[in-house]
Amino acid sequence: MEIHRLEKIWIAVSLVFIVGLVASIVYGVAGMGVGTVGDTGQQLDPNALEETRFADPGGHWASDDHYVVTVVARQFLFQPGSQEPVMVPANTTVTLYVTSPDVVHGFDVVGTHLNAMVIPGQVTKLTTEFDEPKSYGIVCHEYCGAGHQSMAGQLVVVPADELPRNESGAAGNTSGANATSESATASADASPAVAPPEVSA
Amino acid sequence: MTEHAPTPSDDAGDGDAATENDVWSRRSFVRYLAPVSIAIPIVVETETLVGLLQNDFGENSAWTQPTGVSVGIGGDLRPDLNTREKLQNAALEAVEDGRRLTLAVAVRNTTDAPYRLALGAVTTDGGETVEGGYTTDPVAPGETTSFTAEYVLPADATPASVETTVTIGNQPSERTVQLAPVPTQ
Amino acid sequence: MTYVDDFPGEARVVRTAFAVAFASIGLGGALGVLQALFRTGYSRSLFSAVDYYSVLTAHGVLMALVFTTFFIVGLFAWGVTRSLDTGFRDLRFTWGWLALMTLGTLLAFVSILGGIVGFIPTHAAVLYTFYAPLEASPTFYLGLALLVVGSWGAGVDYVLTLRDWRADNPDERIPLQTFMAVSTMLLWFVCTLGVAVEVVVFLLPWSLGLIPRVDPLLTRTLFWYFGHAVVYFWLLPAYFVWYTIFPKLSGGRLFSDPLARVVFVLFLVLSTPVGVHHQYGDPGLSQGLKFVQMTSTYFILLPSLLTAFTVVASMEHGARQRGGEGRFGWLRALPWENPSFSGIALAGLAFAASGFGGMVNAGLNVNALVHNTMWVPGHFHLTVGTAVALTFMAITYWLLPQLTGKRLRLRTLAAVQPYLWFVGMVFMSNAMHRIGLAGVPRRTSEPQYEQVIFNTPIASIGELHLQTVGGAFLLFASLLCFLAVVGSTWLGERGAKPLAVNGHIPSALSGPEHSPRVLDDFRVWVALTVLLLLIAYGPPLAAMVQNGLFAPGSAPIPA
Repeated sequence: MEIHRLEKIWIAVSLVFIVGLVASIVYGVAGMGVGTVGDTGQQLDPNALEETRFADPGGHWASDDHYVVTVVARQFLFQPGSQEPVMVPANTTVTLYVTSPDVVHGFDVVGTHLNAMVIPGQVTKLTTEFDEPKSYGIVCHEYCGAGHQSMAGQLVVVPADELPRNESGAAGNTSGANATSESATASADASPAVAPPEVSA
Repeated sequence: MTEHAPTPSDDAGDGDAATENDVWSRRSFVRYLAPVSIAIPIVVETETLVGLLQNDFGENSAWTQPTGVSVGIGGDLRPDLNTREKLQNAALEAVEDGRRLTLAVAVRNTTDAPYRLALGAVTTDGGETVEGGYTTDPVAPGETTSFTAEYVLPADATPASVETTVTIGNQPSERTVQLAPVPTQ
Repeated sequence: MTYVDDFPGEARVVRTAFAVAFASIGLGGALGVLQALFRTGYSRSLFSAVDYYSVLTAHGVLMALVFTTFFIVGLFAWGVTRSLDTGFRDLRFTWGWLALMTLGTLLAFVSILGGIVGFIPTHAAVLYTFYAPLEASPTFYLGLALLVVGSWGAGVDYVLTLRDWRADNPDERIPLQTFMAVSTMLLWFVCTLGVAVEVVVFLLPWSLGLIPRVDPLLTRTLFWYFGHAVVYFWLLPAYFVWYTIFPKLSGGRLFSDPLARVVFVLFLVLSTPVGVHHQYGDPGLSQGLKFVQMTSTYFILLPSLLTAFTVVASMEHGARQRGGEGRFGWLRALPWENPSFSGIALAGLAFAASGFGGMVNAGLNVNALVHNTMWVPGHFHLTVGTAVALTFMAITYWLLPQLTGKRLRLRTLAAVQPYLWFVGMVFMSNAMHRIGLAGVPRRTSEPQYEQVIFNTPIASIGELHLQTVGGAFLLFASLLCFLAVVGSTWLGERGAKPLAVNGHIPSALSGPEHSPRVLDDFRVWVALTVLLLLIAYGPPLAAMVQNGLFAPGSAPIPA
């Protein structure tokens, strides 16, 4: 089987190009630390979120320099996010856990690389750090039913000292054993929701 | 080139193609469509690329500006500044001569210089300007204050944006802030 | 002799398949314009923001699933019987699978229509990806299943015809067109297995209430096992045209038959273990798995880059045969007035451009910039919406006379049509890509939010919306030209004048006799494909079913 000389060169250049593309992504992931959503190994029953960390969604300090926010994406709002903004501290490691009790949703913080799917039964984990106070929009970018076009919210980055630090264990009631009956709906109160500390899964 | 002697039937094939194309060659005006059509994407895509590069690396890059989200309850009126201007509450209330808009704001001066915040006119969704507002007294470094500004809007109007002026030292910084939907009471 | 006289029965089959394809592109195209007008806010009076999703579902199903599949089975039916010079074994079987496909299409379409029309008691506003737990009426899933099963019948028909031919010609190489058709259908068998399991084992019984819950991630992964390979099922028939017919239209001959076979084998082997690149943003799938499938995604660039070489080389060869000279001057010697030629050349150009967008989509982390934004439909309107669809329309001008025995009519409209499509898509797709870069989501009826303002680079959203709608109108005008040419040719009389086209295809400059025979042994390639699939999909699927086939489970939520 004969291959034209120019075509051999073309094949070689193509292969170098392909390897270069893969290498550039490897550099992005390993060198710059920009990955994507992975497998947390956590699954939950979408019909029983009240028994999980999503029982009372909102933000809290997991440690001095780590802020954790749980968000429930449901038809057709983010809790928190839509009726009150997701508040996160600047210059701090922020981890967002997102899940859905109903259908597949999207979670895109516009203008950032926080862009992921929210799938019932799975936990989407996003970790990032915002370097300055700023407001961002959140949109649901996966079709989720008749009201999909209205599903949006806000994420507000504030100076770290503006988010109250509760005492660790003060409200440790999110473990499956002693689920609270507290409703998960967002309150109209605009103060940042202070959720109980994270229970490791 | 790996030439292989064409068989007679191959020549016939080439001949076929020539006949097939003859039917079309009378429409020579179409010939001019090709360069024009191929030039269009080159122009459109070059323009896009140059624009993107200017955006990324030029002055006034759109990416360095804060994302233009509207501010709702709990939001920072001036996310472009390090100082804190939190919209604590916003409400619309029906009154005799229209709707009263109340904006409650808490500020904190995180700088080392004297600071003041002024809320100016509100623009409605219909484009009308409603005067009013509030200007704080100077706030010392590290201090906080809060205030409430009121406006009376026409009965069918909703607020779209509010003018803000933050003065740090002698440096005023003005900005029109888009407002998220305000709940009606 | 033309094809219709040699194989009147088969010609009728091809014509019927094409008729369904053209009906669905006409209807789907009209819905596309309405959708563009709604989304951009130019006209929102015809239907509601909720009905938009039924319209969108219909547009996607008609264009991406019905138009493509029917055109492809018709095109391959022509290619296999023409290149083997033998008819199908039993036309009753052939009509059987075509009828099944048509029945499935009607069922699915009526199910979607039920979402808008009150008196039809069905709903299927689930878009063409139908992710659970959003649920459609069982008739929608049943329709899709019949469409796929019918298309399997087409594959069986081609393979049986090839087997008969091989028995009679034991020492000959498989003709290139049949080789391509069969390898594409083998790819189709392999990849539709995923969606068939999703629909038949999970969604259909679930929508009927026979099983209470399904695992959204599992069904979604089964969908994407199919969901990217399907784009090669659309693309390879376009490559079939680019490799076997386009060189003749350019005035020359194919460069290399063996490399064409290598390209199709590479697609067969590589195109299914890449589906996870549609799930980079999904929780529950490890980054390692995503990385592996990203690598195979980038390697599948290779056969397309090889194709780019062949297409350009064949074009240049043809142009020089026609007297073209100079480094680039030969381009002028090409038959740009012939829409079969110009349509394919423009389709190839669009595909080259969209390939670069595809490299962005395929990047594990870069993908987050564009995932599920308007960028993505901007991308696939260039690929399936132009590279594939424009090739199909272009080759229709060449095939239709051979299928009907009638000379092509309205030739001026035909000559202009590919240019209109190309320019329309340049405008529309450029605007969609740019809107997507600002973060505006796809799949939404009213992409404006009180809490979010999108910073579009360069032009405002309003200007880009105008550009989108302008492009959409050019595309629709182009579509009307195409349908007018096809309609008037079809309804016209069969005149005494000879056709201006014939089905003779000149042999390649470098023929199949120079390639290893193992290339023609499909058993080897299918075995390799299955092996790669087990590596790529075995571990994640095993992990997902470990805690139960239906857990974590979701009950149906009607859409």
